[in-house]
Formats: sequence, structure tokens, C-alpha cells
Amino acid sequence: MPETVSWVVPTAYSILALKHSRGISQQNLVHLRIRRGVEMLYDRICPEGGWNAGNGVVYGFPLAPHADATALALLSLLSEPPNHFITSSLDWLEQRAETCFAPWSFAWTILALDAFGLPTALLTDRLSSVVDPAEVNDCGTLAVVSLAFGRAAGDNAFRVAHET
Amino acid sequence: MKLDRRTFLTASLGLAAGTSTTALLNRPKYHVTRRQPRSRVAILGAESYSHKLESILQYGLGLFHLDVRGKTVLLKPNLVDYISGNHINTHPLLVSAAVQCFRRLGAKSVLVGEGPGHQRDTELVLLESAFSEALRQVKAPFVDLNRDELAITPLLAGYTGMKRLWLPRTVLEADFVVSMPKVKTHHWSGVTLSMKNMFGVVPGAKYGWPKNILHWKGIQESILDLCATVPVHFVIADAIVAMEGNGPLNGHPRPLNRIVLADDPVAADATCARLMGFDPTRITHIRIGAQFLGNASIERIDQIAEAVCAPANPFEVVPEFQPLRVKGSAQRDS
Repeated sequence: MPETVSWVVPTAYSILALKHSRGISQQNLVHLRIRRGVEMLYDRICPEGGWNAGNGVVYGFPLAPHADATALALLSLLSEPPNHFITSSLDWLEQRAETCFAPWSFAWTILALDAFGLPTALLTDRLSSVVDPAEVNDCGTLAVVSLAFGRAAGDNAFRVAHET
Repeated sequence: MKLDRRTFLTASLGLAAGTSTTALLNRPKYHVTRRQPRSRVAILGAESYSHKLESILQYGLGLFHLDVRGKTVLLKPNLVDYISGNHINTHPLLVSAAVQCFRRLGAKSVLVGEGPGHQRDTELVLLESAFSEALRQVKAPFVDLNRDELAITPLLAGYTGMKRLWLPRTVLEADFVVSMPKVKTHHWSGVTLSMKNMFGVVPGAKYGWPKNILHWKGIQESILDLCATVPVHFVIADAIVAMEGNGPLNGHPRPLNRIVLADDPVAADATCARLMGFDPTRITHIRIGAQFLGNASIERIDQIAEAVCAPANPFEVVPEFQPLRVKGSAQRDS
């Protein structure tokens, strides 16, 4: 896209949307854009796994991953063949989940770990103890928290979309 | 497309006087003049982050005889991200001290607002940097400017070429905006001080993270347009532990043991730059800002507390910004 730069989260959102698109005539073009997006995510991965907002290393300095960016990137890579980028990022995210209490990041973390078949029941219990939906002012956060709670009922929107 | 840092720097690093970029920036493109004949700056000693900050700040604010009675005061700290051990953000104790001081001065309400530019999860930054607890203790409301209600706003300068921006209502409706930067070097803009801090009022929900449109249009240009459009009435800069090197996130802590107060953001930033051992006239947004937003020249700034004392060793910077550093103690202002 002209006059834009490629950051991790918008790329992940775009890959998710393209992978779940149906009935598009230009499937070759869609496939090409997905591959470009996936390559970009692998290129930007942080040395310890996971993703920051953009580059994983700046001026030779490794950046720390962000939980939400990592979770979203992983969800967009759900149908990709297993590889060390995904494995190391899942490892990092599992560790980060232990100390994450902010609803937005925590909910995305649960959705991503669950989509990859990792245990999240205890995490979901903790989410319910730290989040009072009545105190969440932001619609986006409320939506992703609701999706994470829905996972507890065996309903992970991302896994379902991937399997269909 | 991989973001090319040099694309940013070509526009943002106005070091080579006479280049076409600098020449373009030097052409007046503002529709408002905020520069007063003289500006006041107070550099105050503060050894550490402690509850003594409130009395230091109260004393410092008293020097300015501010009248904020009945006004809505918006404190705009610099919250970018949280990385354990890194001095990235304005310290929460300084912000909570400012809340108490402005209440004592008779403000109708004191809000704290910020839209972090790097981390999308504002609540995570608040929680992990201990801001939530500090603000809870003084019962100060926080507004996430990344997700606030917006209003389309004509820009009062034209350095970016943009005509308007969507800006948060909380900012537009505040009577008295206080920029509270962390004094840091910045690998794309040289420094991040009270003027660059205003990037945080641009809503991420509309323009993305890290405020993509501003980076694309040019950091120095965007700073000028923003500060022309959203007046900064006062500055309280956290220079107790500043940051040098690869800022704004991954630099090294550099204690200056100071807070800097000013009634003019350009004067504040020029003074902070001098405290960092930089020549402020080599920083594009300060140099151009001094044409219409405030005063950068020593001759136009009244230092009403401590004198400016440039460090023997200027702050470390990334290679592109080495020309900012003034070697030795004999700084001359143009």
C-alpha cells in the first residue's frame, strides 16, 4: 500500500482476513498476499520468539515481544506448517501469560494459546478474576475478552475458522 | 515494504543546512503565532523519585504564578511502553505530584491523558509501569487518548501537508495542557521532549500504532503541525533519570537529577537539549518552532531557578545524530 509501512499487527489482521475470505475471484493474488505477509512476520520475529510492533532488532538491539502482537501474529500463522518461529513464539507467550494481567493482551494470549491446542483453563479462570466487564470502557477490549471467555465453553472463533 | 529509517531521517534530520529538505522546512508554514517576547524556565534539583517531588513541584509552580482556577487541566505524560529496568516513561510519582499541585492551585479538574505510541495495550503500560496504582492513590482519572471520542481539527501549520487531523475531544476541550515528557534521546528525531511528547495525542485507533501517518509525513514536520494546533500551556519535564543512546525505548539511564518547568514548550525543549549537551538549533523542530511556537534563544529565556549547566559529556546518541552533541562546555547559542 502506498504511504504506509508494514507493522506486525495490521499484517496479522490482514492475513487473518485473507485466509478466511471466501468467494474471491482472484485467489492467486490473495494467496500471493498471504505469502508476502507470512514472510514479513517471519522476517520481523524477535530473537527470543514473539513479535514487537515492527522490527525485532533495532540498531543491533533485540526488542522485547509484545503479548498482543505475538498472539495475533500466531493466530494468523495457525495454518502454517510447524516451525521454530511458531514454537519459540508459543513458548514465549506461555511464559508471558504468567505475568500478564491487562485484559486486552491477556485475552489475546488465551485465544492464541488455545488455538494451538495449549492448556488455557487456568488462564481463563484468572482472566475472569482480573476483569470486570462492567469496568471495561473500550469496545475492542470487551470484544476480545468476550471471545476469550467463549473459549472456556469450547468455542474459539479462530480455531473454528481455521478448521472450516 | 520494509520501513527504511533513512526515509525518516532524510526528512527529520535537519542537520545539513542548505539541503533542500531543510530549506523547505525553513519556509514559514504556520497560521498561528504563540511565541511570547520572553519565556520562563525553572530548572529544579530533584535527587530521586520520592514523595518529596510534590513539595519541589509546588515550589516550582509557585514561581510561575499560574492561574488555573476553575480550569480543566490535562496532564500529558510520556507513556510509550513498559520494559523492565528501562527508564522509558515519565515517572508516575511526578505525575501524581502534579495532579495534587494543580488541584491545590484551584483547577476545576485534573485529568491525565495519553495515547501510547508503541504499545497498543494502554492498560498494560499503566499496570506494569505502576501508573494505575499511582493514579488510584490520588484518585485521578485517566483518559486513553488512543481511544477517546474524536473531532476533526484543522491544522494550524502546514509542514506535513495535511490539512486536518482527528484529535481527542479531551485534549481539544482542556483549558490548560501540560506536557510532561521524559527527557530522552530518540533514534528518529534526535530528542523526545515536550513537543515530541504531543505525538501521544494523536489517536492510535484512527491512525494506527506507532502513529503511522506522522512517521510517514515526517516526524519533525508532524511535531510542528501538532504543537501549532494543540497549544502546550506548560511543561513539566522529568529529567531526574533521563535516557541517552538508542532512545526512546532502549537507551541507557542518564541521571540528571532535575525537573524542568516552563511556560513555553520551545524554551523547555531548548533548555533540556542544553542540559543534554546538545545544540538546540541543530534540532529541526526546536529551530523551526522558535519562529512561531516559542523561544529557543538563551537571550529570550529567563531562567528563574538554577542556571543551565551543560554536561561535560553530552548525551550519547545514535550515529546519525552525533552532530547534535556540543563538545566541551562552551556552548554558544545562535
